[in-house]
Amino acid sequence: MTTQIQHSLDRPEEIETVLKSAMEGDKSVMPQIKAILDAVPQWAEELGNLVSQTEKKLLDMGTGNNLLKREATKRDLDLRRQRLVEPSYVEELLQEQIILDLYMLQRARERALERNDPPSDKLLTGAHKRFLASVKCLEQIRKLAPPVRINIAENQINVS
Amino acid sequence: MAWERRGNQKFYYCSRKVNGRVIKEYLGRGERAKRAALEDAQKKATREHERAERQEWEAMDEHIAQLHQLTKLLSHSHLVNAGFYQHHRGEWRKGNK
Repeated sequence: MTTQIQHSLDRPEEIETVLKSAMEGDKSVMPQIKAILDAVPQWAEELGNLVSQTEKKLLDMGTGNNLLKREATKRDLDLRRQRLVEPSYVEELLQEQIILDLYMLQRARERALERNDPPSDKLLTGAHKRFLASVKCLEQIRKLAPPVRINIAENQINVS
Repeated sequence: MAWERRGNQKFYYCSRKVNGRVIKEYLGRGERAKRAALEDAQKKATREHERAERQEWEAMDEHIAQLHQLTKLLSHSHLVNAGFYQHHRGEWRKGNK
Protein backbone atom coordinates (compact mmCIF):
# COMPACT_ATOMS: atom_id res chain seq x y z
CA MET A 1 0.00 0.00 0.00
CA THR A 2 2.92 2.36 0.77
CA THR A 3 4.20 1.98 -2.75
CA GLN A 4 0.67 2.72 -3.99
CA ILE A 5 0.65 5.92 -1.92
CA GLN A 6 4.09 6.87 -3.16
CA HIS A 7 2.81 6.25 -6.66
CA SER A 8 -0.21 8.47 -5.99
CA LEU A 9 1.91 11.19 -4.35
CA ASP A 10 4.02 11.34 -7.44
CA ARG A 11 0.85 12.08 -9.40
CA PRO A 12 -1.18 14.73 -7.52
CA GLU A 13 -3.81 14.82 -10.24
CA GLU A 14 -4.67 11.18 -9.41
CA ILE A 15 -5.17 12.07 -5.72
CA GLU A 16 -7.41 14.92 -6.75
CA THR A 17 -9.53 12.58 -8.87
CA VAL A 18 -9.79 10.07 -6.00
CA LEU A 19 -10.76 12.80 -3.52
CA LYS A 20 -13.36 14.23 -5.87
CA SER A 21 -14.88 10.77 -6.47
CA ALA A 22 -15.04 10.12 -2.70
CA MET A 23 -16.72 13.49 -2.08
CA GLU A 24 -19.31 12.61 -4.69
CA GLY A 25 -20.06 9.27 -2.95
CA ASP A 26 -18.09 6.83 -5.11
CA LYS A 27 -17.56 3.79 -2.84
CA SER A 28 -15.06 2.15 -5.18
CA VAL A 29 -12.34 4.64 -4.19
CA MET A 30 -12.64 3.92 -0.44
CA PRO A 31 -9.51 1.69 -0.30
CA GLN A 32 -7.43 4.52 -1.78
CA ILE A 33 -9.05 7.03 0.59
CA LYS A 34 -8.26 4.82 3.60
CA ALA A 35 -4.69 4.43 2.39
CA ILE A 36 -4.30 8.19 1.91
CA LEU A 37 -5.69 8.96 5.38
CA ASP A 38 -3.41 6.28 6.88
CA ALA A 39 -0.44 7.83 5.15
CA VAL A 40 -1.37 11.41 6.10
CA PRO A 41 -3.17 11.19 9.50
CA GLN A 42 -3.20 15.01 9.81
CA TRP A 43 -5.78 15.10 7.04
CA ALA A 44 -8.07 12.76 8.95
CA GLU A 45 -7.69 14.90 12.06
CA GLU A 46 -8.29 18.10 10.11
CA LEU A 47 -11.30 16.80 8.20
CA GLY A 48 -12.86 14.61 10.89
CA ASN A 49 -12.51 16.73 14.00
CA LEU A 50 -15.99 18.24 14.34
CA VAL A 51 -15.03 20.35 17.32
CA SER A 52 -12.17 22.06 15.53
CA GLN A 53 -14.35 22.52 12.45
CA THR A 54 -17.07 24.12 14.56
CA GLU A 55 -14.50 26.31 16.28
CA LYS A 56 -13.19 27.49 12.92
CA LYS A 57 -16.72 28.22 11.70
CA LEU A 58 -17.49 30.11 14.90
CA LEU A 59 -14.26 32.08 14.51
CA ASP A 60 -15.28 32.95 10.94
CA MET A 61 -18.71 34.05 12.18
CA GLY A 62 -17.32 36.04 15.08
CA THR A 63 -14.41 37.77 13.42
CA GLY A 64 -15.45 38.04 9.77
CA ASN A 65 -12.65 39.55 7.67
CA ASN A 66 -10.85 41.03 10.68
CA LEU A 67 -7.69 38.88 10.70
CA LEU A 68 -6.22 40.66 13.73
CA LYS A 69 -9.31 39.86 15.80
CA ARG A 70 -9.32 36.29 14.49
CA GLU A 71 -5.67 35.68 15.41
CA ALA A 72 -6.11 37.27 18.85
CA THR A 73 -9.24 35.22 19.56
CA LYS A 74 -7.56 32.04 18.35
CA ARG A 75 -4.55 32.66 20.60
CA ASP A 76 -6.84 33.33 23.55
CA LEU A 77 -8.70 30.06 22.88
CA ASP A 78 -5.40 28.17 22.60
CA LEU A 79 -4.25 29.63 25.89
CA ARG A 80 -7.49 28.57 27.56
CA ARG A 81 -7.13 25.13 26.02
CA GLN A 82 -3.65 24.77 27.52
CA ARG A 83 -4.92 25.91 30.91
CA LEU A 84 -7.86 23.49 30.76
CA VAL A 85 -5.54 20.57 31.46
CA GLU A 86 -4.52 22.16 34.76
CA PRO A 87 -6.71 20.89 37.61
CA SER A 88 -7.44 24.35 38.97
CA TYR A 89 -8.77 25.63 35.67
CA VAL A 90 -12.43 24.98 36.51
CA GLU A 91 -11.98 26.94 39.72
CA GLU A 92 -10.39 29.80 37.82
CA LEU A 93 -13.18 29.78 35.29
CA LEU A 94 -15.77 29.82 38.06
CA GLN A 95 -13.95 32.72 39.71
CA GLU A 96 -14.04 34.63 36.43
CA GLN A 97 -17.74 33.85 36.12
CA ILE A 98 -18.37 35.06 39.67
CA ILE A 99 -16.58 38.34 38.93
CA LEU A 100 -18.71 38.76 35.83
CA ASP A 101 -21.90 37.88 37.70
CA LEU A 102 -20.98 40.24 40.53
CA TYR A 103 -20.34 43.11 38.15
CA MET A 104 -23.61 42.44 36.33
CA LEU A 105 -25.41 42.26 39.68
CA GLN A 106 -24.04 45.65 40.74
CA ARG A 107 -25.02 47.26 37.45
CA ALA A 108 -28.46 45.62 37.49
CA ARG A 109 -29.02 46.83 41.07
CA GLU A 110 -28.07 50.39 40.15
CA ARG A 111 -30.38 50.24 37.15
CA ALA A 112 -33.26 48.80 39.15
CA LEU A 113 -32.90 51.55 41.78
CA GLU A 114 -32.71 54.21 39.10
CA ARG A 115 -35.57 53.02 36.93
CA ASN A 116 -37.79 51.01 39.25
CA ASP A 117 -39.63 49.18 36.45
CA PRO A 118 -40.44 45.45 35.88
CA PRO A 119 -37.77 44.78 33.15
CA SER A 120 -35.02 46.15 35.45
CA ASP A 121 -36.33 44.06 38.36
CA LYS A 122 -36.28 40.99 36.11
CA LEU A 123 -32.66 41.67 35.18
CA LEU A 124 -31.74 42.12 38.83
CA THR A 125 -33.44 38.86 39.85
CA GLY A 126 -31.67 36.93 37.08
CA ALA A 127 -28.27 38.44 37.93
CA HIS A 128 -28.75 37.68 41.62
CA LYS A 129 -29.73 34.06 40.95
CA ARG A 130 -26.73 33.54 38.67
CA PHE A 131 -24.32 35.08 41.18
CA LEU A 132 -25.53 32.80 43.98
CA ALA A 133 -25.47 29.74 41.70
CA SER A 134 -21.87 30.48 40.62
CA VAL A 135 -20.73 30.92 44.23
CA LYS A 136 -22.43 27.63 45.11
CA CYS A 137 -20.71 25.88 42.19
CA LEU A 138 -17.29 27.14 43.31
CA GLU A 139 -17.92 26.08 46.88
CA GLN A 140 -18.96 22.60 45.70
CA ILE A 141 -15.83 22.24 43.62
CA ARG A 142 -13.61 23.44 46.47
CA LYS A 143 -15.30 21.23 49.02
CA LEU A 144 -15.82 18.06 47.00
CA ALA A 145 -13.11 17.91 44.37
CA PRO A 146 -10.22 20.14 45.36
CA PRO A 147 -6.98 19.89 43.39
CA VAL A 148 -4.22 18.17 45.34
CA ARG A 149 -1.15 20.38 45.74
CA ILE A 150 2.20 18.77 46.38
CA ASN A 151 5.17 20.86 47.37
CA ILE A 152 8.47 19.40 46.29
CA ALA A 153 11.26 21.61 47.59
CA GLU A 154 9.97 25.05 46.57
CA ASN A 155 8.15 23.93 43.42
CA GLN A 156 4.41 23.42 43.73
CA ILE A 157 2.85 20.72 41.53
CA ASN A 158 -0.91 20.53 41.04
CA VAL A 159 -2.39 17.07 40.72
CA SER A 160 -6.09 16.49 40.11
CA MET B 1 -49.96 63.02 17.69
CA ALA B 2 -49.35 64.02 14.13
CA TRP B 3 -49.51 66.70 11.52
CA GLU B 4 -52.60 66.09 9.41
CA ARG B 5 -53.26 67.59 6.04
CA ARG B 6 -56.51 69.51 5.57
CA GLY B 7 -56.66 70.96 2.09
CA ASN B 8 -53.35 72.68 1.39
CA GLN B 9 -52.31 73.10 4.98
CA LYS B 10 -51.13 70.88 7.83
CA PHE B 11 -52.56 71.00 11.34
CA TYR B 12 -51.30 69.34 14.45
CA TYR B 13 -53.59 66.97 16.35
CA CYS B 14 -52.93 65.38 19.68
CA SER B 15 -54.67 62.07 20.51
CA ARG B 16 -55.13 60.74 24.01
CA LYS B 17 -57.39 58.29 25.79
CA VAL B 18 -60.07 59.57 28.15
CA ASN B 19 -62.33 57.02 29.87
CA GLY B 20 -61.39 54.38 27.29
CA ARG B 21 -62.20 56.61 24.33
CA VAL B 22 -59.65 58.26 22.05
CA ILE B 23 -60.00 62.03 22.08
CA LYS B 24 -58.35 64.01 19.32
CA GLU B 25 -57.38 67.53 20.30
CA TYR B 26 -56.86 70.17 17.65
CA LEU B 27 -53.77 72.30 18.20
CA GLY B 28 -53.75 74.25 14.95
CA ARG B 29 -50.60 75.19 13.07
CA GLY B 30 -49.20 78.03 15.09
CA GLU B 31 -46.63 78.27 17.87
CA ARG B 32 -48.64 76.02 20.16
CA ALA B 33 -48.74 73.25 17.54
CA LYS B 34 -45.01 73.56 16.83
CA ARG B 35 -44.17 73.43 20.52
CA ALA B 36 -46.37 70.35 21.03
CA ALA B 37 -44.84 68.66 17.98
CA LEU B 38 -41.33 69.32 19.33
CA GLU B 39 -42.23 67.96 22.77
CA ASP B 40 -43.78 64.86 21.20
CA ALA B 41 -40.69 64.29 19.05
CA GLN B 42 -38.46 64.57 22.13
CA LYS B 43 -40.66 62.13 24.05
CA LYS B 44 -40.53 59.69 21.13
CA ALA B 45 -36.74 59.95 20.91
CA THR B 46 -36.46 59.30 24.66
CA ARG B 47 -38.73 56.25 24.37
CA GLU B 48 -36.68 54.87 21.47
CA HIS B 49 -33.45 55.46 23.34
CA GLU B 50 -34.85 53.65 26.38
CA ARG B 51 -36.04 50.76 24.23
CA ALA B 52 -32.61 50.42 22.58
CA GLU B 53 -30.92 50.55 25.98
CA ARG B 54 -33.28 47.91 27.37
CA GLN B 55 -32.60 45.63 24.37
CA GLU B 56 -28.86 46.06 24.87
CA TRP B 57 -29.20 45.09 28.53
CA GLU B 58 -31.35 42.09 27.68
CA ALA B 59 -28.82 40.92 25.07
CA MET B 60 -25.98 41.25 27.59
CA ASP B 61 -28.02 39.42 30.22
CA GLU B 62 -28.73 36.61 27.78
CA HIS B 63 -25.05 36.39 26.87
CA ILE B 64 -23.95 36.18 30.52
CA ALA B 65 -26.67 33.63 31.25
CA GLN B 66 -25.35 31.42 28.45
CA LEU B 67 -21.79 31.73 29.76
CA HIS B 68 -23.09 30.86 33.21
CA GLN B 69 -24.79 27.73 31.87
CA LEU B 70 -21.56 26.61 30.21
CA THR B 71 -19.47 27.23 33.32
CA LYS B 72 -22.01 25.37 35.43
CA LEU B 73 -21.96 22.46 33.00
CA LEU B 74 -18.17 22.37 33.12
CA SER B 75 -18.09 22.41 36.93
CA HIS B 76 -20.67 19.61 37.08
CA SER B 77 -18.61 17.57 34.61
CA HIS B 78 -15.62 18.15 36.87
CA LEU B 79 -17.57 16.75 39.82
CA VAL B 80 -18.79 13.77 37.81
CA ASN B 81 -15.23 13.16 36.70
CA ALA B 82 -14.14 13.21 40.35
CA GLY B 83 -16.64 10.42 41.10
CA PHE B 84 -19.63 12.39 42.40
CA TYR B 85 -23.26 12.23 41.37
CA GLN B 86 -26.19 14.56 41.97
CA HIS B 87 -28.75 13.02 44.27
CA HIS B 88 -32.28 13.79 42.99
CA ARG B 89 -31.02 16.99 41.36
CA GLY B 90 -29.99 18.23 44.79
CA GLU B 91 -26.80 17.66 46.73
CA TRP B 92 -23.69 16.09 45.26
CA ARG B 93 -22.68 12.77 46.78
CA LYS B 94 -19.67 10.55 46.41
CA GLY B 95 -20.44 7.57 44.15
CA ASN B 96 -19.82 4.00 45.27
CA LYS B 97 -18.05 2.94 42.09
